[in-house]
Parts: sequence; structure tokens; C-alpha cells
Amino acid sequence: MIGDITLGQYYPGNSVVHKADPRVKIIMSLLLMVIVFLTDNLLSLSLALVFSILAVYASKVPLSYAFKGLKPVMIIILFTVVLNVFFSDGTPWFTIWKLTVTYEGVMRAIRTALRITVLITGSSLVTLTTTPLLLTDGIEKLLNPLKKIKVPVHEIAMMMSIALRFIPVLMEETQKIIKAQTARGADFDTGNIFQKAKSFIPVLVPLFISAFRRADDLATAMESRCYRGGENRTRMKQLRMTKIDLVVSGVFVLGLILMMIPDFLF
Amino acid sequence: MAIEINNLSHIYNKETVMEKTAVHDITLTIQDGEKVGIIGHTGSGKSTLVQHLNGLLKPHSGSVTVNGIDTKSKEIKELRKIVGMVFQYPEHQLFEETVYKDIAFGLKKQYEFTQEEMDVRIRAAALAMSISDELMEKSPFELSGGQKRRVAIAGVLVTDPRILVLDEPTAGLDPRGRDELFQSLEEINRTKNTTIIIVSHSMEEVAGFANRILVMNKGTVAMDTTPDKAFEDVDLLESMGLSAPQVTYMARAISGVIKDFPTRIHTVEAMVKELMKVVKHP
Repeated sequence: MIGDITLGQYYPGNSVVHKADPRVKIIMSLLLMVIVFLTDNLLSLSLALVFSILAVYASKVPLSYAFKGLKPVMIIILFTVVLNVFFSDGTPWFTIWKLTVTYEGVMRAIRTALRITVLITGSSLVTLTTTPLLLTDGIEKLLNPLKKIKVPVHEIAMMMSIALRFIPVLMEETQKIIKAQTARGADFDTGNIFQKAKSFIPVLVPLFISAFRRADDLATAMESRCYRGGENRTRMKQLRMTKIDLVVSGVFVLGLILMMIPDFLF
Repeated sequence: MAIEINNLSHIYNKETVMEKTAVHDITLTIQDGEKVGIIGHTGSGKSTLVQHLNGLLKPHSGSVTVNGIDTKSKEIKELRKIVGMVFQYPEHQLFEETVYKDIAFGLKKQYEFTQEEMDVRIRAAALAMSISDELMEKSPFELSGGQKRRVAIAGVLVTDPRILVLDEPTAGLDPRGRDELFQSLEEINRTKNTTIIIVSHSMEEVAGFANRILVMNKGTVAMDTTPDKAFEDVDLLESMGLSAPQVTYMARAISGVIKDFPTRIHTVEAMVKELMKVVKHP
């Protein structure tokens, strides 16, 4: 039940994509998103999809695993597809009952579906192939210029990494408490939606208490090591660009140019 | 009427990269009223094994039958009435406004008693865990660690289970809290003939309490015997990442100096007795 959440989940591996610098991965996926939104060309979008599938293949993450992130947005995709197909103006193609399907509508539906798919696959590939720690490191480095206008970049990155770090911990904790209350006779599966929601109180109260306790402990631990954040901190793992990053960005930029060609030609 | 485990195997994350066999081909029977200690190194499968007893985990192959109920059957509610389970750090499961209500939770969920009947049972469970009356109306979160632990165990005892399983019940308790807990468990076992199964990695604890010891190693039962026999083969225990109680090592050392000093000593009390004999008759 809870195992379906893929947010911030890292899929261990040793591929080129895993080894690439997080900054490179973040920037590349952002570029991909920008292009996917700028272009209106069907060929460009299809190329983008092929490209992201190839990227997943190169990362050796199982394709089904990478597409798992699509499950929750499937409803949104279906919704937009249906709306676009039936309610777009343009050249009529055929008519079902009172609804007219237009040629433009179908095209727009396909484009939207492709866009969302590339978007989700691209961004989940970044989180699947980067450990949470490296990911926040990368984000912090990228946001560094914002420090000039007094944005607490380090603190934001710190909060993100703590949040990501605690997802599996809290998940495990939830499982444990569910088991303990089940053993005492709690029943989470029967009854209507209100009864079900109420049956989760014996899980949520202990979970909140333990979350606060953990937060407290962590704060004490940081405090007692004189954690001060930001200035003059060094890292155990320095982010360094390597040849892999050159190759990855090279391949990626080439792919992006390829995607843009049909846009200019037609 | 007993626990029967036949060729039980359990695999976590089946058919993925992270597949791991936690329990492999275990067959054993536990009779009513036994005091069983399950010991084993971290990851030896002890917690996995006990979670099969009330159907929280289902066997991937083999079967588990408790008092004639197969854990795979639909009578899971009946099964959970028979088997009470106290998890590690049970105080983390407290949630009600008062101690009284928290103890009552399991009772309300599993049985339909009148207010009076419930009250009798709740007070009896509290008494068994030596929870005083003035604590009953307090919030469970105001209590000390040891008190919380006792409240949580009372919340399991309240349904009067025939079989009580405790996973590391003394972790984080001070010596006094530990002794009190074991006294209460002895009492329950003696008066109600409740089967008590304790999972632990402290040899001292298990040696003093259990009359049967299951040593788990790599998902299988490596030894199934009495404490006396289990602690005889120290080398074998050590090869499984375990050890005998400290007094057993001490007895061995003494027997090297004093002839005929018994080496089968596993509790401090027995050691004191033997030493007194030596002192009195030099």
C-alpha cells in the first residue's frame, strides 16, 4: 500500500547516468522540460520521448520502474486527452453522438500526453539515479547565485535533504505501528470511508509523536556538534565535473538540437 | 492445542533484486504453557518467525497452525485473540488520552463486553503489570519509559491471550524494570498456563526465564533444547555470533581452579549458591 510511493526513491546502480554530476542531470532535465513546452511539433515531441526512453535504458533502471511515476498522473493525462479530443475547434474528423472529434483536437491530445509523459519520465530519472544527498548538494550549488539576494540557499537545501532522508524512516515506522495495532485487534480495511479514516487515528497519533521526537533528537544532535550551516563548510564528497559529465552533456545537447530541428524545418 | 509450524519459509521482496530469504524450512511444535526463549543474531529471522504466529506475515511455503487455526485461513480475528503480540518498544504504539482508554483499546476492538466486564478486565491487566490506580487517568505520554512499557504490555494482556509473544521486551529498561517485568510474566505463566515466547539477544535474560531455547541462525533453527544444553557448546554459539551468559564463562574459569566445580551455571542466583557451598566447605 505504502510501497507504491516512488518520490525521492533511489534505484541503486553504476551506470553512466548514475555517475554523472547531479548538476548536469538537473540542468539537462530542466532544458528537456523547456524544449518540450516550447515546441509544438509532433515529431519533436516523439523524438523527446524516444530520447528519454533511451536515457532510461542507459541508466539500466528497469523501464517499468521508471514509468511507475506515471501512475498517479494517469488520471490527469486521460482527463486532458478526453477534453482535447472532444472539445477542440477545428476541422471536423468524425462525430460520435453529439460530440465532434476534430483533427486538431486529436493532435493536441497526443501532444499533451507526450509532453506529460516526457516530463515525468525525465524528472523521475533524475531522482532515480541520484542519491538524495547528491541531489540536494547539486541543487544547493545551482542556487548559489541566489545567496547574493539573501536567499537562505543552504538552509533550503538542508531542509530538503532532511525531508528526503526521513521518507523511508517514517514509512518503516508506519508499517511497524500498523502491525502493532493490528496485533491488538485494529481493523483498517472494513467500514465506510469515515470509519476507515477514523481507524487510522491509532496509527497517526504515535506516528506524529515519533516524528516530533525524531526531529527533536536530530536538532539536539546537530546543536551538540555545533552545526552552523552555510559559511566555510567543507564536504566529504566534493562535486567535480569529470569526463563522464562532458560526454553526458554532449550527448544530451546533441539530442536536444535534434529535437529542435523538426521545429525549425516545418 | 499448541503451535504447530511445518516447513515454514518466508521470503522478503519476493521476485525483485532485493529478494531475501528470512526464514527457511522451519518445523517445530510449541506446547501450551511453555516458556520459550528465541535467541539469535540480528537478521537471523527471529522477528520474522514470531510474526507468523498471529498471521501478520503469511508463509510463502509450509504452514503455521495455532490451536487448530491455520494462519492463512479467514479466522484471523479469532487467531489474534489467542495470540497476543508485544512488539519492540511497545510504548511507541500508545495513542489514547488516558492510560485506561489505551489499555481498553484492544478489548473494545476484539470483544463485545459490557462496561462492567471491561472494567474488571482492564483493572486485572493493570494489576498484572503493576500499574497503580492513580496512573489510570493520566495521559500515557506523561509517564516514565518503564511505566509506558508496562501500560503497552497491559494493553496486550487485557484480551487474555493464551499465547503471549514478546519481541525484545526489556530493550531500554533498567535492571529493576527488567526484573519486575519477568516476575509479572512468570506470574501470568504460572497462574494461567499462558504460553510465553520471548525473542531476545540477551543470554542472561533467556537463561533465567525460559525452559526451552530456540537458537536461530541464518533463517533456520540451529538448536532446540534446554538452556543447560544450549549453553554447553559455547564454541557453536559463538560461531553464530552469540555467547553464553557471563556467569557460565565464570563457572568455567573457576572449574579450572577448583576441582568438581559445576560448569552448567547460567544464572547469577545459581552461581551464588554454588559459590556459597565452596566457601562453607573449603
